[in-house]
Amino acid sequence: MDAKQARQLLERYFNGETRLEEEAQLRSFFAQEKVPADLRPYQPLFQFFGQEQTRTTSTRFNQQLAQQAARLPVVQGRRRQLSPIFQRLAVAALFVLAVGWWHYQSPAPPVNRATAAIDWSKYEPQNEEEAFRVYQSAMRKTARALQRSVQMATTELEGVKKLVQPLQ
Amino acid sequence: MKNLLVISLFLLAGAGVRAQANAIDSYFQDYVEDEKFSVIYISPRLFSMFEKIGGEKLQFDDKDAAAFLDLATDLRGLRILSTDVTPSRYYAEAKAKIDTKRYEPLITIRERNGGKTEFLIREDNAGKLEELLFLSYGEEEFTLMSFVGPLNLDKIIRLANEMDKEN
Repeated sequence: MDAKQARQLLERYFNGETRLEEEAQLRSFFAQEKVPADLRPYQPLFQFFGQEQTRTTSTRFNQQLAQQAARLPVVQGRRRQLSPIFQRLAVAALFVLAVGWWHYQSPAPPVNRATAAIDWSKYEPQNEEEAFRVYQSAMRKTARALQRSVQMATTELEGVKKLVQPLQ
Repeated sequence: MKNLLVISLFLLAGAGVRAQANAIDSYFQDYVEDEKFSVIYISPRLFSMFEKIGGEKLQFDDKDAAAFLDLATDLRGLRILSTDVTPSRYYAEAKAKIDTKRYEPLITIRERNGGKTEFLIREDNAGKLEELLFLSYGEEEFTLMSFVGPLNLDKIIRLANEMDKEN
Protein backbone atom coordinates (compact mmCIF):
# COMPACT_ATOMS: atom_id res chain seq x y z
CA MET A 1 0.00 0.00 0.00
CA ASP A 2 1.36 3.43 -0.92
CA ALA A 3 1.01 6.69 1.00
CA LYS A 4 -1.92 7.88 -1.13
CA GLN A 5 -3.95 4.76 -0.38
CA ALA A 6 -2.94 5.02 3.28
CA ARG A 7 -4.32 8.59 3.44
CA GLN A 8 -7.63 7.49 1.89
CA LEU A 9 -7.91 4.53 4.24
CA LEU A 10 -7.02 6.72 7.20
CA GLU A 11 -9.83 9.12 6.37
CA ARG A 12 -12.27 6.23 6.13
CA TYR A 13 -10.88 4.77 9.35
CA PHE A 14 -11.66 7.94 11.30
CA ASN A 15 -15.13 7.99 9.75
CA GLY A 16 -15.68 4.45 11.03
CA GLU A 17 -16.06 3.03 7.51
CA THR A 18 -13.08 0.63 7.27
CA ARG A 19 -13.29 -3.16 7.30
CA LEU A 20 -11.07 -5.34 9.53
CA GLU A 21 -8.77 -6.22 6.63
CA GLU A 22 -8.30 -2.55 5.78
CA GLU A 23 -7.43 -1.79 9.39
CA ALA A 24 -4.84 -4.60 9.26
CA GLN A 25 -3.39 -2.98 6.12
CA LEU A 26 -3.12 0.33 7.98
CA ARG A 27 -1.35 -1.33 10.90
CA SER A 28 1.07 -2.99 8.51
CA PHE A 29 1.69 0.36 6.67
CA PHE A 30 2.47 2.18 9.90
CA ALA A 31 4.69 -0.69 11.11
CA GLN A 32 7.33 0.23 8.49
CA GLU A 33 10.01 2.70 9.44
CA LYS A 34 9.69 5.17 6.54
CA VAL A 35 6.35 6.94 6.71
CA PRO A 36 5.61 10.33 5.02
CA ALA A 37 5.90 13.27 7.38
CA ASP A 38 2.20 14.18 7.31
CA LEU A 39 1.27 10.65 8.39
CA ARG A 40 3.84 10.30 11.11
CA PRO A 41 1.59 11.60 13.92
CA TYR A 42 -0.59 8.53 13.41
CA GLN A 43 2.28 6.05 13.43
CA PRO A 44 2.50 5.52 17.24
CA LEU A 45 -1.24 4.86 17.41
CA PHE A 46 -1.23 2.09 14.81
CA GLN A 47 2.04 0.64 16.09
CA PHE A 48 0.46 0.46 19.54
CA PHE A 49 -2.57 -1.38 18.13
CA GLY A 50 -0.23 -3.82 16.34
CA GLN A 51 1.78 -4.52 19.47
CA GLU A 52 -1.31 -5.02 21.64
CA GLN A 53 -2.67 -7.57 19.20
CA THR A 54 0.35 -9.77 19.61
CA ARG A 55 0.13 -9.91 23.42
CA THR A 56 -1.04 -13.18 25.00
CA THR A 57 -1.63 -14.40 28.54
CA SER A 58 1.20 -16.17 30.39
CA THR A 59 1.36 -19.95 30.71
CA ARG A 60 0.99 -19.67 34.47
CA PHE A 61 -2.19 -17.63 34.18
CA ASN A 62 -3.66 -20.17 31.76
CA GLN A 63 -2.88 -23.04 34.14
CA GLN A 64 -4.50 -21.25 37.11
CA LEU A 65 -7.62 -20.55 35.08
CA ALA A 66 -7.89 -24.18 34.03
CA GLN A 67 -7.52 -25.36 37.66
CA GLN A 68 -10.26 -23.03 38.89
CA ALA A 69 -12.58 -24.12 36.13
CA ALA A 70 -12.02 -27.77 37.06
CA ARG A 71 -13.04 -27.07 40.67
CA LEU A 72 -16.46 -25.65 39.71
CA PRO A 73 -19.42 -28.06 40.21
CA VAL A 74 -20.98 -29.38 37.03
CA VAL A 75 -24.65 -28.33 36.84
CA GLN A 76 -26.68 -30.61 34.67
CA GLY A 77 -29.91 -29.40 33.00
CA ARG A 78 -33.02 -30.78 34.67
CA ARG A 79 -36.46 -30.90 33.03
CA ARG A 80 -39.24 -29.72 35.30
CA GLN A 81 -42.77 -30.95 34.93
CA LEU A 82 -45.81 -29.09 36.19
CA SER A 83 -48.26 -31.00 38.33
CA PRO A 84 -51.53 -31.98 36.55
CA ILE A 85 -53.56 -29.31 38.36
CA PHE A 86 -51.15 -26.60 37.23
CA GLN A 87 -51.29 -27.96 33.70
CA ARG A 88 -55.08 -27.62 33.74
CA LEU A 89 -54.90 -24.15 35.20
CA ALA A 90 -52.40 -23.15 32.51
CA VAL A 91 -54.70 -24.48 29.77
CA ALA A 92 -57.68 -22.63 31.28
CA ALA A 93 -55.69 -19.40 31.56
CA LEU A 94 -54.51 -19.75 27.96
CA PHE A 95 -58.06 -20.32 26.82
CA VAL A 96 -59.35 -17.26 28.67
CA LEU A 97 -56.54 -15.19 27.19
CA ALA A 98 -57.29 -16.51 23.70
CA VAL A 99 -61.00 -15.71 24.00
CA GLY A 100 -60.20 -12.26 25.38
CA TRP A 101 -57.78 -11.62 22.57
CA TRP A 102 -60.31 -12.81 20.00
CA HIS A 103 -62.96 -10.47 21.40
CA TYR A 104 -60.50 -7.61 21.43
CA GLN A 105 -59.27 -8.24 17.88
CA SER A 106 -62.56 -9.04 16.19
CA PRO A 107 -63.78 -6.15 14.06
CA ALA A 108 -66.87 -4.69 15.29
CA PRO A 109 -69.54 -6.48 13.67
CA PRO A 110 -72.11 -4.66 15.38
CA VAL A 111 -73.56 -8.10 16.02
CA ASN A 112 -71.03 -8.83 18.75
CA ARG A 113 -70.87 -5.38 20.19
CA ALA A 114 -74.57 -4.93 20.70
CA THR A 115 -76.04 -8.02 22.39
CA ALA A 116 -78.99 -7.81 24.72
CA ALA A 117 -77.92 -4.78 26.72
CA ILE A 118 -80.99 -2.77 25.71
CA ASP A 119 -83.72 -2.62 28.31
CA TRP A 120 -86.64 -2.58 25.89
CA SER A 121 -89.27 -2.42 28.64
CA LYS A 122 -88.41 1.29 29.01
CA TYR A 123 -89.79 1.93 25.53
CA GLU A 124 -93.12 0.11 25.80
CA PRO A 125 -96.30 2.18 25.42
CA GLN A 126 -98.25 2.97 28.58
CA ASN A 127 -101.21 0.71 27.80
CA GLU A 128 -102.58 -1.73 25.24
CA GLU A 129 -104.71 0.88 23.46
CA GLU A 130 -101.70 3.08 22.79
CA ALA A 131 -99.65 0.04 21.77
CA PHE A 132 -102.35 -0.97 19.30
CA ARG A 133 -102.48 2.52 17.80
CA VAL A 134 -98.69 2.48 17.32
CA TYR A 135 -98.79 -0.98 15.81
CA GLN A 136 -101.67 -0.04 13.50
CA SER A 137 -99.88 3.06 12.30
CA ALA A 138 -96.63 1.11 11.68
CA MET A 139 -98.41 -1.68 9.87
CA ARG A 140 -100.41 0.81 7.77
CA LYS A 141 -97.20 2.53 6.69
CA THR A 142 -95.60 -0.81 5.86
CA ALA A 143 -98.65 -2.06 3.98
CA ARG A 144 -98.84 1.13 1.90
CA ALA A 145 -95.15 0.90 0.96
CA LEU A 146 -95.41 -2.79 0.05
CA GLN A 147 -98.53 -2.18 -2.01
CA ARG A 148 -96.87 0.73 -3.80
CA SER A 149 -93.81 -1.40 -4.61
CA VAL A 150 -96.04 -4.11 -6.08
CA GLN A 151 -97.93 -1.53 -8.16
CA MET A 152 -94.66 -0.05 -9.41
CA ALA A 153 -93.34 -3.52 -10.31
CA THR A 154 -96.58 -4.28 -12.18
CA THR A 155 -96.39 -1.00 -14.10
CA GLU A 156 -92.78 -1.75 -15.04
CA LEU A 157 -93.72 -5.23 -16.23
CA GLU A 158 -96.53 -3.85 -18.37
CA GLY A 159 -94.08 -1.40 -19.90
CA VAL A 160 -91.69 -4.25 -20.71
CA LYS A 161 -94.56 -6.27 -22.22
CA LYS A 162 -95.47 -3.35 -24.49
CA LEU A 163 -91.86 -3.14 -25.63
CA VAL A 164 -91.63 -6.87 -26.28
CA GLN A 165 -94.98 -7.31 -28.07
CA PRO A 166 -94.02 -5.55 -31.33
CA LEU A 167 -91.00 -7.86 -31.57
CA GLN A 168 -93.12 -11.02 -31.29
CA MET B 1 -60.41 -30.42 30.20
CA LYS B 2 -63.26 -31.71 28.07
CA ASN B 3 -65.81 -30.13 30.41
CA LEU B 4 -64.11 -26.78 30.04
CA LEU B 5 -64.25 -27.05 26.27
CA VAL B 6 -67.93 -28.02 26.28
CA ILE B 7 -68.86 -25.15 28.60
CA SER B 8 -66.94 -22.70 26.42
CA LEU B 9 -68.69 -23.93 23.30
CA PHE B 10 -72.07 -23.48 25.00
CA LEU B 11 -71.13 -19.95 26.03
CA LEU B 12 -70.05 -19.04 22.51
CA ALA B 13 -73.18 -20.60 21.00
CA GLY B 14 -75.33 -18.69 23.48
CA ALA B 15 -73.70 -15.44 22.47
CA GLY B 16 -74.46 -16.23 18.83
CA VAL B 17 -78.10 -16.97 19.51
CA ARG B 18 -78.49 -13.79 21.51
CA ALA B 19 -76.92 -11.75 18.71
CA GLN B 20 -79.50 -13.00 16.23
CA ALA B 21 -82.45 -11.52 18.12
CA ASN B 22 -83.27 -8.60 15.82
CA ALA B 23 -81.58 -6.01 13.64
CA ILE B 24 -81.93 -3.16 16.11
CA ASP B 25 -80.25 -5.07 18.93
CA SER B 26 -77.60 -6.18 16.50
CA TYR B 27 -76.77 -2.98 14.69
CA PHE B 28 -78.56 0.02 16.17
CA GLN B 29 -77.95 0.01 19.88
CA ASP B 30 -76.36 3.45 19.53
CA TYR B 31 -79.54 4.86 18.03
CA VAL B 32 -81.68 3.51 20.89
CA GLU B 33 -79.51 5.38 23.37
CA ASP B 34 -79.36 8.52 21.22
CA GLU B 35 -81.76 11.22 22.42
CA LYS B 36 -82.34 12.39 18.85
CA PHE B 37 -84.31 9.19 18.25
CA SER B 38 -87.83 8.31 19.35
CA VAL B 39 -87.99 4.67 20.35
CA ILE B 40 -91.04 2.44 20.73
CA TYR B 41 -91.17 -1.24 21.53
CA ILE B 42 -94.22 -3.49 21.45
CA SER B 43 -93.51 -6.74 23.24
CA PRO B 44 -94.94 -10.20 22.51
CA ARG B 45 -96.98 -9.79 25.72
CA LEU B 46 -98.70 -6.69 24.31
CA PHE B 47 -99.35 -8.38 20.97
CA SER B 48 -100.99 -11.30 22.71
CA MET B 49 -103.18 -8.90 24.68
CA PHE B 50 -104.65 -7.24 21.58
CA GLU B 51 -106.67 -10.33 20.82
CA LYS B 52 -107.78 -10.86 24.41
CA ILE B 53 -108.91 -7.28 24.85
CA GLY B 54 -110.81 -7.28 21.58
CA GLY B 55 -112.04 -4.56 19.28
CA GLU B 56 -114.42 -2.86 21.68
CA LYS B 57 -111.84 -1.71 24.17
CA LEU B 58 -109.29 -0.92 21.48
CA GLN B 59 -111.85 1.47 20.00
CA PHE B 60 -111.62 0.55 16.38
CA ASP B 61 -114.67 0.43 14.26
CA ASP B 62 -113.24 0.13 10.79
CA LYS B 63 -113.59 -3.11 8.89
CA ASP B 64 -109.88 -3.68 8.46
CA ALA B 65 -109.34 -3.87 12.22
CA ALA B 66 -109.80 -7.63 12.09
CA ALA B 67 -107.04 -7.83 9.51
CA PHE B 68 -104.74 -5.85 11.79
CA LEU B 69 -105.50 -8.22 14.65
CA ASP B 70 -104.89 -11.21 12.41
CA LEU B 71 -101.45 -9.89 11.43
CA ALA B 72 -100.65 -9.12 15.08
CA THR B 73 -101.00 -12.79 16.00
CA ASP B 74 -97.96 -13.55 13.83
CA LEU B 75 -95.77 -10.94 15.50
CA ARG B 76 -93.36 -11.50 18.35
CA GLY B 77 -92.08 -7.94 18.60
CA LEU B 78 -92.09 -4.55 16.95
CA ARG B 79 -89.32 -2.00 17.40
CA ILE B 80 -89.54 1.48 15.91
CA LEU B 81 -86.81 4.09 15.79
CA SER B 82 -87.33 7.48 14.18
CA THR B 83 -85.67 10.86 14.03
CA ASP B 84 -86.19 14.12 12.20
CA VAL B 85 -82.51 15.04 12.44
CA THR B 86 -80.50 14.57 9.21
CA PRO B 87 -82.71 11.74 7.87
CA SER B 88 -80.62 11.01 4.77
CA ARG B 89 -77.41 10.72 6.78
CA TYR B 90 -78.96 8.22 9.19
CA TYR B 91 -80.43 6.22 6.32
CA ALA B 92 -77.02 5.90 4.66
CA GLU B 93 -75.39 5.05 7.97
CA ALA B 94 -78.01 2.42 8.78
CA LYS B 95 -77.61 0.81 5.36
CA ALA B 96 -73.89 0.54 5.91
CA LYS B 97 -74.36 -1.12 9.29
CA ILE B 98 -76.63 -3.92 8.15
CA ASP B 99 -74.99 -7.23 7.30
CA THR B 100 -76.49 -8.11 3.94
CA LYS B 101 -75.48 -11.75 4.43
CA ARG B 102 -78.10 -11.98 7.18
CA TYR B 103 -80.59 -9.45 5.78
CA GLU B 104 -81.60 -9.83 2.19
CA PRO B 105 -82.85 -6.70 0.45
CA LEU B 106 -86.41 -7.35 -0.71
CA ILE B 107 -87.70 -4.10 -2.15
CA THR B 108 -86.20 -0.66 -2.66
CA ILE B 109 -88.36 2.29 -3.62
CA ARG B 110 -86.81 5.55 -4.68
CA GLU B 111 -89.23 8.35 -3.95
CA ARG B 112 -89.74 11.29 -6.31
CA ASN B 113 -88.81 13.80 -3.60
CA GLY B 114 -85.43 12.17 -3.15
CA GLY B 115 -86.27 9.86 -0.26
CA LYS B 116 -86.00 6.10 -0.20
CA THR B 117 -87.85 3.17 1.32
CA GLU B 118 -86.34 -0.26 1.65
CA PHE B 119 -87.51 -3.62 2.95
CA LEU B 120 -85.05 -6.26 4.07
CA ILE B 121 -85.88 -9.73 5.30
CA ARG B 122 -84.18 -12.29 7.50
CA GLU B 123 -85.20 -15.91 7.04
CA ASP B 124 -84.51 -19.01 9.09
CA ASN B 125 -82.72 -22.05 7.69
CA ALA B 126 -86.01 -23.40 6.33
CA GLY B 127 -86.64 -20.18 4.39
CA LYS B 128 -89.36 -18.98 6.73
CA LEU B 129 -89.58 -15.23 7.34
CA GLU B 130 -88.23 -14.32 10.77
CA GLU B 131 -87.92 -10.56 10.54
CA LEU B 132 -89.04 -7.78 8.25
CA LEU B 133 -86.93 -4.66 8.43
CA PHE B 134 -88.30 -1.39 7.10
CA LEU B 135 -86.04 1.58 6.46
CA SER B 136 -87.30 4.83 5.11
CA TYR B 137 -86.25 8.44 4.86
CA GLY B 138 -87.68 11.55 3.35
CA GLU B 139 -87.23 15.26 3.83
CA GLU B 140 -88.72 15.15 7.31
CA GLU B 141 -87.93 11.84 8.96
CA PHE B 142 -85.85 8.70 9.06
CA THR B 143 -87.74 5.61 10.26
CA LEU B 144 -86.48 2.17 11.08
CA MET B 145 -88.94 -0.59 11.96
CA SER B 146 -88.23 -4.18 12.82
CA PHE B 147 -91.14 -6.64 12.76
CA VAL B 148 -90.09 -9.93 14.32
CA GLY B 149 -92.18 -13.00 13.60
CA PRO B 150 -93.41 -15.14 10.71
CA LEU B 151 -95.23 -12.34 8.89
CA ASN B 152 -97.17 -13.07 5.75
CA LEU B 153 -96.40 -10.36 3.17
CA ASP B 154 -99.45 -11.26 1.07
CA LYS B 155 -101.67 -10.58 4.05
CA ILE B 156 -100.06 -7.16 4.47
CA ILE B 157 -100.68 -6.25 0.84
CA ARG B 158 -104.27 -7.47 1.12
CA LEU B 159 -104.66 -5.21 4.13
CA ALA B 160 -103.49 -2.26 2.05
CA ASN B 161 -106.02 -3.15 -0.64
CA GLU B 162 -108.77 -3.31 1.98
CA MET B 163 -107.78 0.12 3.24
CA ASP B 164 -108.05 1.47 -0.32
CA LYS B 165 -111.55 0.04 -0.70
CA GLU B 166 -112.68 1.75 2.49
CA ASN B 167 -111.33 5.07 1.38
